Amino acid sequence: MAVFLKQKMALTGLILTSLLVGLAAAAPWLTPYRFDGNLPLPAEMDGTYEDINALERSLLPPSADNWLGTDKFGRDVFTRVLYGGRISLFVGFISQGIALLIGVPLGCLAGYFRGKTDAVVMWLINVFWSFPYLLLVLAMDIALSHMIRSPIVRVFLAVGLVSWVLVARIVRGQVLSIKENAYIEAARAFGFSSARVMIRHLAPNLITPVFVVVTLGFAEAVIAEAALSYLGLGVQPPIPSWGRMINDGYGYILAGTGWWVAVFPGIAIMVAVLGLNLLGDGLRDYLDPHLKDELEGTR
Amino acid sequence: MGTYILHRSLHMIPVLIGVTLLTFLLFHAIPGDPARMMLGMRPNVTTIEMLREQWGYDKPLVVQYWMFLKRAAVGDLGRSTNDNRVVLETILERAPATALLAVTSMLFAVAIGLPAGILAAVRRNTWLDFSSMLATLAGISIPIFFLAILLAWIFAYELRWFPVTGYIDQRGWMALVLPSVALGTRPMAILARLTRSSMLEVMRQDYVLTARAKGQNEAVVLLKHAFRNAFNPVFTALSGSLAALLVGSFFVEFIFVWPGIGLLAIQAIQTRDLPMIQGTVLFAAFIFVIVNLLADIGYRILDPRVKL
Repeated sequence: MAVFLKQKMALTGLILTSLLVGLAAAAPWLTPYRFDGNLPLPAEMDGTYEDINALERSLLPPSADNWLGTDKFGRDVFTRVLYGGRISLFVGFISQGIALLIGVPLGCLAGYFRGKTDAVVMWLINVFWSFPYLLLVLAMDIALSHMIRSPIVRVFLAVGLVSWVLVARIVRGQVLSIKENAYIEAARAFGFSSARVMIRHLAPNLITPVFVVVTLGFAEAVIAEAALSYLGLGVQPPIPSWGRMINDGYGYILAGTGWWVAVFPGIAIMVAVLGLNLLGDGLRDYLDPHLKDELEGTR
Repeated sequence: MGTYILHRSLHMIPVLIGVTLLTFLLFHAIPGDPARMMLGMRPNVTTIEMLREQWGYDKPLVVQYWMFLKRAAVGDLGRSTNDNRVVLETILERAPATALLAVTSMLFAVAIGLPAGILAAVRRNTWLDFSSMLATLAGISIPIFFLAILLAWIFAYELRWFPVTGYIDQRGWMALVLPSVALGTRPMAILARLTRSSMLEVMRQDYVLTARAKGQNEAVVLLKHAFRNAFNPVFTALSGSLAALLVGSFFVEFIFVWPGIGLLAIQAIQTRDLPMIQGTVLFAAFIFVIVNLLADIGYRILDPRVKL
């Protein structure tokens, strides 16, 4: 029963995650509106099209035309939630890519060579670990703002440069335990170079744990992106981002003129993060039950 | 025990040095002239020179870091570039509000999370178990600023049970409720999940079976035999959730206009007050490291078997 339930949870996570990816990817075909305006796409115009006053369409409640209502500028909230998903996915993929590029080599080196290399890498991990995750992402973003002009690239880097720690920790632990196996010993006895042993013999064993860590890191990245853009640090308007939509919408909640502007993007974040967490947890339990102990208490 | 504490504290030193180094690099090694940046658009040339000399921006990076470390060691984190307030003094002024919020949200987390976890473990695989675990998953997945906004909207704006914003000095103790719930939800969810899995683990043990077999009252079995042993990993998680709490307080304080360190930090971020941002980051990291140290020591006291 419990095993069946776990798989069901992983499956739910997979469905939610695929739904998110599918909706974000198919955004232009799912909605007749543009994310940065209320005008229909040129393809939708049939000659009878009239210029619609943006003010008249401002802050409309959910209806058949605008499923999730419109915002202050008369833009369709559903459309913006879809396109906002693209930003979240981009940030998740690229930041986790950066985290892998840094975390896997560092973790491998530390676990394989031990000694001084390990001490240095562990020190780095512990230093990064001493900062609360989101706080370090914020600080990174601010520090990078003088070097990198593009806000979205900054978010990629800020999240990636913080998320590598979890990857490195898990990879190091895995390498330490795999290294003791006879086949690694044998490969080394043949006189293969360290690089060859790492890439050919160690790396394949790392795929499962790394995949799990990256899925969970992806969820954190989605929250981090939303938090940054909530504070006005992430992508800039008119590009929609879930965090910024919540920030913009809170004013309308307090003014009593429209709850839908902030609530729907918030639900989108929740569903996305829930899906990724379910998928990550489910995969972990299914593929590698031992990982549970190593990941416990890290978040 | 004494040697353990000493050993553990000494281990903290290189990490703390690393923390100051990373903070320093993030806020000082940025290209461009920090003196000019701090002074804004149209700075006076003599002020630039003064600041540059005061902070040593004209010196090599290593020397700058040494100066930064020496100043930080005596609590000199500089002054705000907005209103010239002394950074550390301002942070300490704001600390009680954040500490109060942290304590009440932890109380909330424990008061709901522990019983929920125990109950879910005891009633394993029932609808009670599933629904509480689903609720905790939602609690982990919801971004804290969105939860804070939802609470403010429903309970303060629509139902008017609590004030939308403000501190206890003006709005009374009711103002404490929503921020505490918003901040405590994530630790509560984590706590409930861990308590459940830890309880399930312990309830399989022989001594629980024995206690049951000798006809002990079920409540005594659960609380005295099972929970007492299940509590140790839960305790570690409690200290771990303090990370979530520290940063979460930034957003919660910002939304509920709660005059703590978090609100200070967010306002500093929004006005690009670099010394203040740096001060709050460093302060949060230090608190975090110290709390983790205390948690490790506490864990050792609770469970003498562990060797850390």
